Amino acid sequence: MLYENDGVSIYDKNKASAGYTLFWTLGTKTVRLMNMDGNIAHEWEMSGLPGNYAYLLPNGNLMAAVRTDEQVLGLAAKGGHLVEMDWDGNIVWEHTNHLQHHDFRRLENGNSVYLHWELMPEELAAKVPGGIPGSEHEQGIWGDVVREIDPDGNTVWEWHSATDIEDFSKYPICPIEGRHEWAHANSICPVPGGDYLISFRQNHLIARIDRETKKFSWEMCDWKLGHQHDVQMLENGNILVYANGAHGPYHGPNEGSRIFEIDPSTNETVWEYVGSPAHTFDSPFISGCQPMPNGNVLICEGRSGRLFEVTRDGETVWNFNSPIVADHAPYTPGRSIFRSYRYTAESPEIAGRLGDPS
Amino acid sequence: MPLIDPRTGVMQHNKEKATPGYTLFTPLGLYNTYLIDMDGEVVHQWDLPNDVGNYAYLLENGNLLAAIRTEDENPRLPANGGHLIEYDWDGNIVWEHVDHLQHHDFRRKPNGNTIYAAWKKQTDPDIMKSIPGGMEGEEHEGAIFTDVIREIDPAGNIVWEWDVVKDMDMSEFPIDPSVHRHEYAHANTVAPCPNGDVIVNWRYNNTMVMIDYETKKIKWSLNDISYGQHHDVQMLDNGNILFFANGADVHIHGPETGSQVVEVDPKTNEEVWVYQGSPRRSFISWFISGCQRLENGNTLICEGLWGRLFEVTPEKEIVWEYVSPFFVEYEHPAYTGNNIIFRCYRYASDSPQIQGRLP
Repeated sequence: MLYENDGVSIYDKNKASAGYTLFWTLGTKTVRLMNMDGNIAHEWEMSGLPGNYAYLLPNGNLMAAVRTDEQVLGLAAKGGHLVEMDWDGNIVWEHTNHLQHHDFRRLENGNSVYLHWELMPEELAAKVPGGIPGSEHEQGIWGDVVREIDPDGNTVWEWHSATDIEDFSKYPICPIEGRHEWAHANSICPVPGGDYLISFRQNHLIARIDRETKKFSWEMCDWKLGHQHDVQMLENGNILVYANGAHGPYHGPNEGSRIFEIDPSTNETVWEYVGSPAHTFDSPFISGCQPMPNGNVLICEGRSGRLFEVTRDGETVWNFNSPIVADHAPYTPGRSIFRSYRYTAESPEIAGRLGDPS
Repeated sequence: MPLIDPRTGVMQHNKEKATPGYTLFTPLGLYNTYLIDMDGEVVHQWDLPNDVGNYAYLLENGNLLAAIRTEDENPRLPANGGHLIEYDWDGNIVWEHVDHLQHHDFRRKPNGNTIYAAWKKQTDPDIMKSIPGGMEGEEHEGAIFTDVIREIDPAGNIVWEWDVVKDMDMSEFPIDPSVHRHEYAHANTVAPCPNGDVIVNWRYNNTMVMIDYETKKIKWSLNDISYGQHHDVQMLDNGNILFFANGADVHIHGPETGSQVVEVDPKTNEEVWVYQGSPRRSFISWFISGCQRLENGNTLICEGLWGRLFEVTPEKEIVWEYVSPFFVEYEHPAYTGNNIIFRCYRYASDSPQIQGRLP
């Protein structure tokens, strides 16, 4: 049993990277921004439930995906309504695509990118390898689309897993996962130059999509990623990813989640965070990680709603167990959080709006 | 978790509802078996010469039966023992038996014989090919270790043997598709029933069986991947089967996953009692672990991964809870920093195991 002491239980002011932390508990309708002591500094009341998170733009506005009630397929992390809200909660931009799910980002040029589902053509769905036989969704197998839109909602670029991936056989679904989706994209992260990093959970695949050719220019497909989340590129060009640690072939004392920093030129792990002991850090689904300005990493251990910051030496210098309990199915009575983000007081997201976060 | 909440010892104790007695456990990675009272005080201990493989328990004569790891023929698989030892109350060896490939479980039978699980190293390509399921190509250094259940008399002569390769149709119970092929299929429980039949539980194919002692045929089985592997399967006085369902490798990913303790009626395999954490993520151990039905109907649970031993009523109220303070504080190949426990046992002060030895 993991004993949870609600609120901020560790805060080393000398070593932590101070700022405001934003999170949206799954199964609730309030986005919260809190200071280092866990006191709420600002809130946004949302029109619906998260699909699956929110984050702050450099203009101080909130970018969020809200779950809509249309085209409910029973697949995880459905959104549908992308909204940009100002500090006071007024909607200043919105876009509806009921099949949007998991991730979305505002690009530097003002465009937005997001993931959405599309039903794979039958002849392609038949080629999807792996998974539990006979476990397809009632309508077939759902593939992923990466869609980039301009501020008016016009598509300027798109990528389809069903047709832009040529060799399906390289990426089988985990043998104990369903065949509802091929293969449950959960991150779309722009990298400088216009390429995208994408993460597919069901086949332990992270890849870089070349914007011009639409092919993978880099990939890693390895069960060690354990149905990973929140893949991103660091300033040094390395890849940071939350490796959930689910569905590996071993179940022993040294398992749990891990944060990997991977050198994409070799696919070697150059830095790793693991719980001490390993099982004290474990979330088999959702979750995320964010590099801090001082080199630390803020980790969202999603299942238990625990946000914590570690140094590169693995020392926990800030720890927060969220006391916010979900009041909507299927997350009640949990405290799960998909991702969290921290912004310094001087950051464009916060500067001028709030004071000292410590 | 130790980092956030460093408390250990007795966390709660409802004296009216808990079952008084002494609790025995052997922390993995440490060389001691401890017997504690309800306040968590160590009232007796045995020093062991090496790691356990994987536990120890008290016999009705008050002696301790333990399995100690030997380094000979060490296959480097989890929970290898090799040296079965019976110690008296003062730690003197009164019986021993060496079988280097013994692992996990062993029991003294009422007739004085001892029954245990052992590995058999299989390298014959035909036998290896006949072993179904698992991840292709993931054998253990070119071999698969299969299970034999062996019964020996006090002099160490083999009087009964059951070999999974010869005596069971393995094709009925393939290794789970996400698990390696090091073993078929990682037996972790050998539990004799009152009539002599033997319950065996395997982790890697999610299968528990009852073996007819006379015919060696399987007379009952339960195979359901949704339990997420299991440990410590046993027959209760009412004939039902109690086990610890680890909740590893479950197909769903969500906030409401975790371990369970399950009682099923073997006539129908329907659940008649289930304990889950509330919330479920507050009770999870994806390996090891055990359960014991106590005389008053309560259940003692060993949440092995967290070194947490706790007792619940039939209504699922926690009435005693203890977190082991015995952490492995040196470099151990598997358990550094952990307070992991394979199984625990509670003995009443008037039980034959304790009576006259402690107040």
